[in-house]
Amino acid sequence: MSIKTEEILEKIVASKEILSTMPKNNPKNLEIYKDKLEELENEYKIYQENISNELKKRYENVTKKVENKEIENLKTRIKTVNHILELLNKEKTSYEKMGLDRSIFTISRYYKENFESINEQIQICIDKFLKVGIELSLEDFNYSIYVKDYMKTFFQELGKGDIHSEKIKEKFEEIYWKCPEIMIHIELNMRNIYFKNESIIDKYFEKEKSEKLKNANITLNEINKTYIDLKKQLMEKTAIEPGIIQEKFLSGECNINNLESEKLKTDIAKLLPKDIAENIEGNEEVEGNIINFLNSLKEYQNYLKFQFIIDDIKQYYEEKENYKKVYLETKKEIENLEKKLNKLNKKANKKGLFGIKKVEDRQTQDIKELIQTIKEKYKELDMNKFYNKIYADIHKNSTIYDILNLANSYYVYLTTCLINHFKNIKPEEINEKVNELDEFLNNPYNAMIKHTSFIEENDLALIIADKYKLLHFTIDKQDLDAKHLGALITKLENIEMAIHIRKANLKIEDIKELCEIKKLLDIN
Amino acid sequence: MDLKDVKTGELIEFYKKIDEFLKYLEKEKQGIEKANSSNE
Repeated sequence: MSIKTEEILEKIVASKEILSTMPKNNPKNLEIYKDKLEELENEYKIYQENISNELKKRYENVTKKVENKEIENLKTRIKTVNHILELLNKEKTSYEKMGLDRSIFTISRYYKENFESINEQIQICIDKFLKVGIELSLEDFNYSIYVKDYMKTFFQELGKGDIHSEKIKEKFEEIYWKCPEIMIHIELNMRNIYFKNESIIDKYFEKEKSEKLKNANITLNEINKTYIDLKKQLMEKTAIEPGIIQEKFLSGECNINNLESEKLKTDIAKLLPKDIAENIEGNEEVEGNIINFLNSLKEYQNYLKFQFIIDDIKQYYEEKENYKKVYLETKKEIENLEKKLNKLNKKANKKGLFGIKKVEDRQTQDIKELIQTIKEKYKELDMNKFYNKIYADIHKNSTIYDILNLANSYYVYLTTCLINHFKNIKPEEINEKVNELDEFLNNPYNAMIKHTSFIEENDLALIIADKYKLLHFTIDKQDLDAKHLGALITKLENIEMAIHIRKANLKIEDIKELCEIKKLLDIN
Repeated sequence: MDLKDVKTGELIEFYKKIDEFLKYLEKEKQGIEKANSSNE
């Protein structure tokens, strides 16, 4: 510490002593004492401000955002390859590739809860059709007279760029009392538009697939490997990027106190024999083994998290012969029902003897009941499509990854499965779980789930424990029990973070100081 | 005050000491104000 700052610390002690000797026995002395307090206060506030400015300057200097071009390039390439992989996904039909399954599910499930979000989803559906070359207009919305009426206002307001306008709200209010199922009618109409244009949409995706592959200069065989390589590179670079590491601690995502040297040493000593534990720093092989062990544990933890999906699919797999034709049969039934609806609508729209009929008279009970039946059939269709995929694509050699990937390709099945498993799950939590599964399946370090058959009763915990015992880890199958697994992962994550900090040329002490400055100066 | 050569860790400690002292001064001031108001 420089002499000047040391002097000030001494001055604090001296000031306290002076204050303690000052008399406070009458109002006059009290006033003098108070003046002295204020004088000192002003003086030290200036010191404090100077220090604060210096600390802030150093904090800003260290945490200054520097774009890592390599990371940004990797992200862009991964996005391109991921888009191609989506197009190549054999499990999805063009309906899922368009993302219509998600939008339509939101309309059908939450139409009573969030009116504005439903209108946004309608707009998203219109945009999705446009993207595949189908420009929707009012003419396409003829499922019922109410759909036509609502969509007329919707298109008018969409043209003005205001799908949340009062006019739309009023139109909805007006129609709702006559037809509370209006949003369901719109949903079914969208599905009908898809089926009418299915072959055009399929062709669009075929063309898009070959064009993207050609532009990216990647063959079909290379694409999966390219994706995994790029993802690994990104994760490795991100893990040792100083700014990203610091941000994890500054944002509170990680706690620097968990990286105290003694604590880390104790944790490592519990996991590895003394001779290895004491010489771990810079030992690439041991450090690599630690990171691989952590990846295996995370993979196992995720497997346990989504095991209920595998169990659910197993049930349908066992009776898969029942699902051979279900999809096509239901689709045919819907086609016939929609033909019937078309006829009823035409009949209802004919002019009566005294001119055009009133809207209410045109929407007959027959039409309402028929639409209700079609709605149930579409629900059946969604599930039958998935069960039919189990029949067609799942076999005894399918891996855990194949099963989860199939579930991940069918939003309606996946959300239904989540809702059945987690009672009272909220919509935002559903999306969180869907994203978690997606992230799990896209982890380039997955090994077990890609090589383990979903019907084998393999003891994965034992397989992991045995593998890492061979690499000298002190580990038993019991350590991978659900109640111990989280703690073991946390320990290894801390060790991994310490390795990454060293590789990023950072110091734990420096990060600790940054965290302290942030807290002291209340920096956002 | 030249702070350039002071290590960040020491600067943090220094900041805390001053902060502590300012809090002490504030507490003393409040004590005086309380004493004044009870005298009135």
